[in-house]
Amino acid sequence: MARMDPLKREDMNDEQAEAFDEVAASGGRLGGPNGIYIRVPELFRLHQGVGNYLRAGHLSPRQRQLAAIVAARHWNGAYAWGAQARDALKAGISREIVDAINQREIPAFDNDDDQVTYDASVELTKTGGLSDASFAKAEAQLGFNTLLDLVAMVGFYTAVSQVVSVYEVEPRAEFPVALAPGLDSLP
Amino acid sequence: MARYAPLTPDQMTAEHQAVYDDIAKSRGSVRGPFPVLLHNPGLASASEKLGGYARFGSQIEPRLLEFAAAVLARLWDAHVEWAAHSRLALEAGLDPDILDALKDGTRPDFVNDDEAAIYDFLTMLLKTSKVDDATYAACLAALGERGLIDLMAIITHYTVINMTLNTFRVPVPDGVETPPFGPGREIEGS
Repeated sequence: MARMDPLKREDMNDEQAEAFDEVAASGGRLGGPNGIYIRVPELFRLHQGVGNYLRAGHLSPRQRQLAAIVAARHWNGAYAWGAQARDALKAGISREIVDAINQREIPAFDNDDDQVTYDASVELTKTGGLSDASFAKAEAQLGFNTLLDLVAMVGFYTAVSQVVSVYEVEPRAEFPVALAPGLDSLP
Repeated sequence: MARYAPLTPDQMTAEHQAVYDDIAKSRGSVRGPFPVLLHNPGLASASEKLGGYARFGSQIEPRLLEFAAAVLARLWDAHVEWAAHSRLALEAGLDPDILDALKDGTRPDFVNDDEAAIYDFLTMLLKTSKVDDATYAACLAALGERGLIDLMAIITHYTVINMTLNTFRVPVPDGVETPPFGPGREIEGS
């Protein structure tokens, strides 16, 4: 049982409904933490603003989704995991890689970009920063601007995962990969 | 050593300049994480706006929101944010003994239930990824439904900011000392 139900469209006041409809019309995100934030329309819009930037910025869909699923798995955000794992598959990340991350196992990558993106995402998620060696490697592979977006992406999805965990937001039944149970201890 | 260089005037495009001007206008200057974020002006702009809400749009009173930011800075080992928000928390009336205990990594001896509720909530969340029913209920009672949602905005903004400060080694301002910290995630929880 979720600790707070997502606000239904018919229960919204005018300001909430206006923000909701605007984001729905532009193809924005309405599930997960957004179902909480819609109660505060100004915050709902500003939170969308960061998410929209991250989808339109320097990260490729593959880089973005690797970062998102690493953060969601680490922080046990079941809703965030479900939504982001679905989008990871859409971005071309293999089911084997998604499953390995879900099981907290080390995935096998066949290219440097995936490897460096994954390694940096794991270190950021756990420690909130990068060692000198990791920073040098990530900047060389990704470039400064993409690395800056990657840091924000990991930070943002760390928080999204924590927020859905706080409110115990239920994952949707149609998400293709559920967060693997029994692995909630933080490594 | 910082791992970035602030943009020079001749490196700034019209978009960089517009975002720079917006941040300078709303915050008085472009400092802390913003010189590095400005390299990606869309990111700087979106972050600055969410951060503006977390600081000024929230219904959480300044003593508590600055305390929450200081606890998050401590948990993420982010010295720049610690320096900023520990000072702001004191100015807003937080007992300095609480910050001293937080520096040392021991659970402060709280007089106020609202401060205890926020501390226990954030330490449990960052140390275990969850908050149990009692801790959730205590924080909801302290902040109300809207205040708890506002705490999520604080968590979101400062997680992005703390990771940015750490990764790019944004320097603590001249003349500000931050104490030697043990690992943030090892501070005492509830």
